[in-house]
Amino acid sequence: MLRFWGWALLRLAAVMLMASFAGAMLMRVAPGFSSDDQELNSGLSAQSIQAIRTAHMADANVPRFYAQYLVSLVKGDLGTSRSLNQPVKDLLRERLPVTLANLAFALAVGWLLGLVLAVAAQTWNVRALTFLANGLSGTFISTPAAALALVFLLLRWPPAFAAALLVFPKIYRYTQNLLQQSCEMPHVLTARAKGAGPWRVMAWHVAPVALPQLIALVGVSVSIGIGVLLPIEVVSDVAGIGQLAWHAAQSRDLPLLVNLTMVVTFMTVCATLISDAAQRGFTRSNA
Amino acid sequence: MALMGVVSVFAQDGGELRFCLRSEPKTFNPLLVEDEASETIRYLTGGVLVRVNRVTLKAEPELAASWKVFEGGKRIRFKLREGLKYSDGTPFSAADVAYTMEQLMDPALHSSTGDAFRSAEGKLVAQVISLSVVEISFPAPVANLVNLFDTVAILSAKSPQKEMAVLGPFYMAERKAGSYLLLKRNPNYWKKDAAGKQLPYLDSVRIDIEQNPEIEALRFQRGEVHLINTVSPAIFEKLSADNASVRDAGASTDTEQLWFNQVPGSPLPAYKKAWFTSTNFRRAVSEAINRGDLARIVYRGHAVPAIGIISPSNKFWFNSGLKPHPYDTASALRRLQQDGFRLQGDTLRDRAGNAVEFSIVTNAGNRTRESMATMIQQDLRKIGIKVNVVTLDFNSLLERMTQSYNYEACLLGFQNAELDPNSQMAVWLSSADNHQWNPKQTSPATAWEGEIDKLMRAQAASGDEHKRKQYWDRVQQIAWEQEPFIYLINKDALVAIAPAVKNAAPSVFRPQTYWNVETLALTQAH
Repeated sequence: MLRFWGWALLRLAAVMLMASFAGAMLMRVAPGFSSDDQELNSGLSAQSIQAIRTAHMADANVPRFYAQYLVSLVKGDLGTSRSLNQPVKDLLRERLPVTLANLAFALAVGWLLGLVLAVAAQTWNVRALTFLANGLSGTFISTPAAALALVFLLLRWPPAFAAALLVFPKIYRYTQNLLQQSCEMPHVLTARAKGAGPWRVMAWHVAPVALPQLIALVGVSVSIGIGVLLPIEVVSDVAGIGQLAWHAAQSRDLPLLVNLTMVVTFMTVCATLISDAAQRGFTRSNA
Repeated sequence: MALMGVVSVFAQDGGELRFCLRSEPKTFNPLLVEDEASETIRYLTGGVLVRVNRVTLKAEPELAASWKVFEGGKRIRFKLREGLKYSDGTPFSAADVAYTMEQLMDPALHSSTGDAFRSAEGKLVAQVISLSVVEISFPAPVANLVNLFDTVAILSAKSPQKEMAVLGPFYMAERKAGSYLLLKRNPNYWKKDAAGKQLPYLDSVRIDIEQNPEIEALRFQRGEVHLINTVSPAIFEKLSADNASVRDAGASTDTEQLWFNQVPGSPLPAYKKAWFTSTNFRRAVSEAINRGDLARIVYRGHAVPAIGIISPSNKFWFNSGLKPHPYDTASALRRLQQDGFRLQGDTLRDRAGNAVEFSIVTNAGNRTRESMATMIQQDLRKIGIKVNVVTLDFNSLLERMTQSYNYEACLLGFQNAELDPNSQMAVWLSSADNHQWNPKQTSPATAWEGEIDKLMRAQAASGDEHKRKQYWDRVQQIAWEQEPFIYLINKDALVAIAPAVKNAAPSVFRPQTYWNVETLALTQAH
């Protein structure tokens, strides 16, 4: 177990470093990195414009920037956002809880909807219910996150619910397929033949088989949740890290973007690691 | 004061005024303000010595009861109001003015507010003569000196709250990053209305951060916000159709213009550089653009064809001798023929046989500008010029404009918040960074740019307003003749003001709807 967590932490650190460095490199080569809209301020003197340019180009050497960033990171300093003129630590402290709360809501509701509909469709096997569930998941799986966010904005519904509706189809489809495969396993067919009721079959024979794979899906669903939440935050003007990431990309804000990449990578990799560990633990205890 | 007198007839005290900003303020330090959001906070919270009335355009006494300018703008003496206090109770005195000016003029600060006062090398001297009298001396006369103090919010030299202690009508009470800012009534605000009632009437101002103008309009329709300072023509029409309270305050001072890249070191082919540096070519393009159609179709009638650098709404500084450039394709072709261009079929070719074709770059996401570029494309087709429209995100566009010079023509707009020609020094001096068509020249590339340099320096050094007007009129005349910027339209200041807001008097100058925020009031239901 200790070895597993040791490797897991190493993997986490390596992925975070690689992702944030790659993000920094991409930002550096993006057109417009070296410009600042303040350069068009006709009220500034030539000396002030030059000072802005010099400050801007301080981050131009990415390896040096990154090395300095890591040194500061060790000391607990995440740097200062170039475009918002605020410490990145403060920005994350203010905005991360917003995104985490929305993410938790989206995952909880998405999972609840997906599981309930998949289990109900499988257990009752009513054509209308299956049609409804498939129709709903088909609709939301093909709806762009930004478009759904806009509809929710017009209806004044909570944006996190839009994220939940976009997470739900993935959970529903995967769970339904998994349950269907499990239901076709010999021991399940035997239990049915012996007269076990549908809920008993589901609880005692199907669920134990499907659960480890569903646990693995938890990790993936966190990535899905983050992926849909970011554009929703931008469209709905939710002051979370999605909006912040959009702003960082638009204003070529290297310190902010590197930190956001770190945070998002940390969240997704951690979720995957935890679900992996849970899956291992579950399989081991069953064995 | 007359306005204040009629206030209480209609208004109810208290209430929370709500409006939106496109982005978060980058700073709450009034000396470092560069962006519009920070400027809004400075306007609502900062106490200034003089305030330029956005309707009369006259400087009116605020913290300074009176002032006197000496030596043509080299020295100014302020007599301050007595007994005033900052929002945290710290007393206000002449020492605060001296402290603010010294901080502002620190060269390491790189403040555009401070740079406006920098007329020559040398140090500013701020001398406290008594608790209520302060004299400020500059190394050389500063043009438009009094009005420049409209943007200088006076900091406290002693308050432990530093820049958060303010003398304006509101103070910053609460802030949620990326979401909203809440300003509350400054209990120590000095100003009273005609009836002796303390201003402001409002209890608070809530400013939501809302990046999307369409959502802002939706929220206005729902009654969630009371004011919109800048409404696009499309949203204006939509709100008008829904009977929302929108107003066209008239032509603003903002301009939209097209210019050609004339940078000698740009990576453009030599024959294109020759086109773009030709006055006949630029004037022909100008004459082939139907500005009336741009105003009528793109701006839905909420714009006027531009004449030159200065909008006619800037009544004092506008050169009224200039007439609009005519829309005349026959004249455009005649001008082109003078330079050896000829129309072959439906394609215009230069002397060497090169087909005349160029790209206009503009910033992506600005629908009115994108539509304008498309209409210009259609207009120029009529004289055989093929135009490609390229939209880029703003940073990429900026990099091309200011560093790589890898563009042919650019369509952008300038916000002219300052009315005085001195604010345009960084654009019209040939050595300036913002001399967009050919910046940072070591010596003027053309004779007319050399003449503009002399005129701009002369107006900046003169304390005589009428002489300055003469110099500036001539600059406008040269710019009209040479058209390094092809000015297209002056858009109207379109604003939205909810019926619940009383005493609103929208101006074409920023901040259009809440420039008189201390006298704004809300009806009781709101």
